[in-house]
Amino acid sequence: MKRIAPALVLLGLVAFVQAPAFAQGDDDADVRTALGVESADELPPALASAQEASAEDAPAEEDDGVWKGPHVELGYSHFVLADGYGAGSVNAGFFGGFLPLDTWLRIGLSAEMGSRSYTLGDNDLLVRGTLVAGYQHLGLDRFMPYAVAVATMGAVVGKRFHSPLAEMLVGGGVEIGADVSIEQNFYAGIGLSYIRASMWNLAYDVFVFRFRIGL
Amino acid sequence: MERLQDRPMRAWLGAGLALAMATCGCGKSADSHYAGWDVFEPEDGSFLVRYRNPPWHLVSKAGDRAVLEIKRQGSGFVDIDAGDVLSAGRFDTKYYFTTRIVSASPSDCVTDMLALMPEGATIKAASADFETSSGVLGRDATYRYYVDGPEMTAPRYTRVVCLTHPNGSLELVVDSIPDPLEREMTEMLRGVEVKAP
Repeated sequence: MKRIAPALVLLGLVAFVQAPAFAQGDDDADVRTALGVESADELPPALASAQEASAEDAPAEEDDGVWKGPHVELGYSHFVLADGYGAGSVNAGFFGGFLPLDTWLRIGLSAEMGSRSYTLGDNDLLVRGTLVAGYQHLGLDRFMPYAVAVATMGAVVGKRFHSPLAEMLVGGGVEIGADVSIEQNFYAGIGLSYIRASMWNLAYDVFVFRFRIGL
Repeated sequence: MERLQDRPMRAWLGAGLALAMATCGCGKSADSHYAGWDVFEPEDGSFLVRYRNPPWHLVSKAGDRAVLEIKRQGSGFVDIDAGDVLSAGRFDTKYYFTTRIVSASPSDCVTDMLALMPEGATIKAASADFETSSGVLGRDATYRYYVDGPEMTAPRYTRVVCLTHPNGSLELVVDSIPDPLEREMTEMLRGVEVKAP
């Protein structure tokens, strides 16, 4: 008992902090080695139950190393929201994700923030959210092309004649693109979309390029 | 079974597409310089002034005279002794823009305005040629002054642009706290059109 007491304390801490790790086969072996036992049946009851609980907590969506739950992604987008003087270039970063649902249906959301150039003064701030829904093609190994409808809403905040102004931006359109699996769940993707947008009672034809990486 | 699963998915897709179409932008194209800007045109139609609303507002118009302004933030709490020469409302503004037709030539029109500079005012930009987007020629000058002396207030600027007009000159005066020589103001002045009678 004296021989395994320090090991039990140490392993108790490890089990508390990193319980899911016990679900892994190699870690099980390390535990048994540290305790000087040969099989899981010989583990102390508390530790054995912790192992069982950890195994139950393992992500159910993971199968054959491929994550089938929601994907999260970070990305960069570029488009032009014309300012009437040849500028209006938007460079933005976005955070979002989509639900693969393991079917042809693709539904995604993203939140984007960036800068819009303005010829006659300081740049504007652009913030928008985007909802996509459409088709994705499964079964092409590493590639997953898609075509979706896009709805977007946001605001452009800036100054005109040294006066702060905020204009609402709404629009809708279509996007096509593809994701490429790079390593297990890690993927990169590009998308090109056309959006007919409205802001300050003006209409904009917007072509958006999006690059993203995700898990 | 597959068909039953597909129905709600198609409904989702249809709803998404409908939402996208419903939010499609409608309106004038944003590609031109003054897209979406309002226009002031006097009854005789001899000229027109374009202004972005907001932040500009047309305060009054009578004949060839129009007053446009952008209020200063917190201007309702500011009490400035404006004196007898200039209207008090002018100093409540960030920008104050007026139009009128004068009988002098553009060069004389600018000279006359500079002769009315407040005491202590300094020339920021001497009289120079000016041309609008539509090719109307004129003269342009700017001076700087202080309402209550340099130790009391920030400077204000007055920019005068006089454009060739069939009846003499179209005088455009911008009185502002920001520098009226900045590109935004210059583009607004360049957007003024003078029409043949």
